[in-house]
Amino acid sequence: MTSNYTHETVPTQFVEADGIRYAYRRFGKRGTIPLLLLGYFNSNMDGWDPDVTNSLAANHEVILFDNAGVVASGGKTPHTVAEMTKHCVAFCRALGLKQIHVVGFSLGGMIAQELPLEHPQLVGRLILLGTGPRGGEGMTFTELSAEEQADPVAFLLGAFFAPSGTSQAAGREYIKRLESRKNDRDLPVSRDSAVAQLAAIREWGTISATERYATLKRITHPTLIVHGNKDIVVIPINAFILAEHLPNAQLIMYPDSSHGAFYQHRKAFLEHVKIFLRDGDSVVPDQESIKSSVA
Amino acid sequence: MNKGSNVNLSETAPTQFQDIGGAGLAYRHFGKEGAPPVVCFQHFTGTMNNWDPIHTNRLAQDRPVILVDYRGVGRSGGKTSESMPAVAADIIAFVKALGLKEIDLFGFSIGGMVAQQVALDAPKLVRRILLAGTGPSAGEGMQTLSAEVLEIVNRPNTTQQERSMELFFSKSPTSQAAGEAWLKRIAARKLDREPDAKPQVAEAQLVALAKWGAIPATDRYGDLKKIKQRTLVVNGKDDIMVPTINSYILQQHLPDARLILYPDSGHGSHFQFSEEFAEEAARFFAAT
Repeated sequence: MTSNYTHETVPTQFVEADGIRYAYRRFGKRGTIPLLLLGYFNSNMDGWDPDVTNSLAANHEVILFDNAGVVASGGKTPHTVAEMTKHCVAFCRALGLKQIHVVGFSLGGMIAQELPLEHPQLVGRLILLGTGPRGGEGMTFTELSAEEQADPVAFLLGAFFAPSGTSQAAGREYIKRLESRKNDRDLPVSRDSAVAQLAAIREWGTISATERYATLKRITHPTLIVHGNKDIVVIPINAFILAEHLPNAQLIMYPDSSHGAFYQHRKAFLEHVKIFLRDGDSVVPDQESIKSSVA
Repeated sequence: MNKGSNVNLSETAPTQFQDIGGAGLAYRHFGKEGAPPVVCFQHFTGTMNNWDPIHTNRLAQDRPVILVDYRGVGRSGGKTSESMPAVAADIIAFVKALGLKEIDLFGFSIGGMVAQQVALDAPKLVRRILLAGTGPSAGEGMQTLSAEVLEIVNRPNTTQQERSMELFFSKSPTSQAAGEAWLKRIAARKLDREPDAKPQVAEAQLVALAKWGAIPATDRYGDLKKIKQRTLVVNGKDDIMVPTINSYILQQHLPDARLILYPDSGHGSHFQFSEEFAEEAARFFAAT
């Protein structure tokens, strides 16, 4: 059974954990292991492509949320990915989720890698989009600033899409789709939150003094890595490094695309996700979490 | 020339011969007519026998499939050539002799190098390219086989089947089981099989490989820019024959390539993920 809500119509709800009120939206096929979507630096729930979330929602429950300190959620944005991950777990616990598949884009993909290390039982499968390992190549983001999105259209076209006419056209379509939700939209991310997020991704990108990619070996969850071949934000070699070091990961790299490759190639991407999740989507017996979801 | 048809699938398609001047190349042609045929190029010392029926039968549902053995391989006449351009010239002559105007290419390992060379030398003939377990000219560690691989290749008293279990699959039980299943599949065809490659084949192919892998002083991957066809690159994450980084290099330098790396697998990842790969390949060739 699928809820009648879509990306465009699902109301923003709130759940409280440890004194922090988290904003979230939950829709899609009930009784499935939910897909928890974790977004990119400086983004809110409206940053997800409705075409992608609605398509995912046909086969899975989809949960979008604002982490601590982001837009409609309470609390303060922490300065490390590890702390962001703790908030993410608190949010899942508050919703009574027993298991999730995590879809993490960029910064969200860093949290997605941290989650199974600390909470291996909570995570079923991982989908890592445009992200890289802790201490990856060129991941201290010296070019990025908290004011990056003063001109959001220029930012998205420049960072998420390649310079080619095809990619730029796909980018303009994506930006148009982002407007399809008319009511109950999220506000922009505050400067304080953006500054903290930037500190977190820079800390994540710092190369450790000990064995560089050691933690990846411990993430044994089935993982799908998706990347653009010309990603200028997280350079593509990072996706290769993830695939080589994670024990159970498949890599897919799309042509003529940048950070938003999975939006540009969304038809192929949705097909690849379907194949990847097809044997990992048993029905969740936990009725409590189902009841608490929106009708 | 006999036209392939739906009933002549990989197990039953007869081996035919096409004269290309000085040699007759052994080939099999089957599958649905009406789309560009996919011409398949085999790995180091391999013959047509080694194509996975799951792949060829799936592709044959949509389009003609042509398996061909290089000069000197299997029942193909002549001596195996010592360079990729020479092998590619044979293939181009073969395709033209069959009267084909537009083809897709599917190359595995050395076959992937032949496919790249065919695309460079006859660009108008080629529509799409599927490259599995291969690498670019001048790629990383491609001039010779590694010590690990040479030890397996030269180990006395082993069969080709035993060697391919180590060369094509990872050490994990899952991968090894997939390897056993693949060996069974390629043994399913009982009649009209090709003989194992003669020693001259390996010698010549190693010479060709050394030339292909040689690193030029300038513009190392310059040729890849010229291969403009839509390409799919596939490999396992731990390929010991053609190191996996070469698949990444291919994808980064080819103008229109997508890349898939499968987990827990090596050179023969497409045999291990046979159904998933077959569907991927079918979608790739069918996509508009």
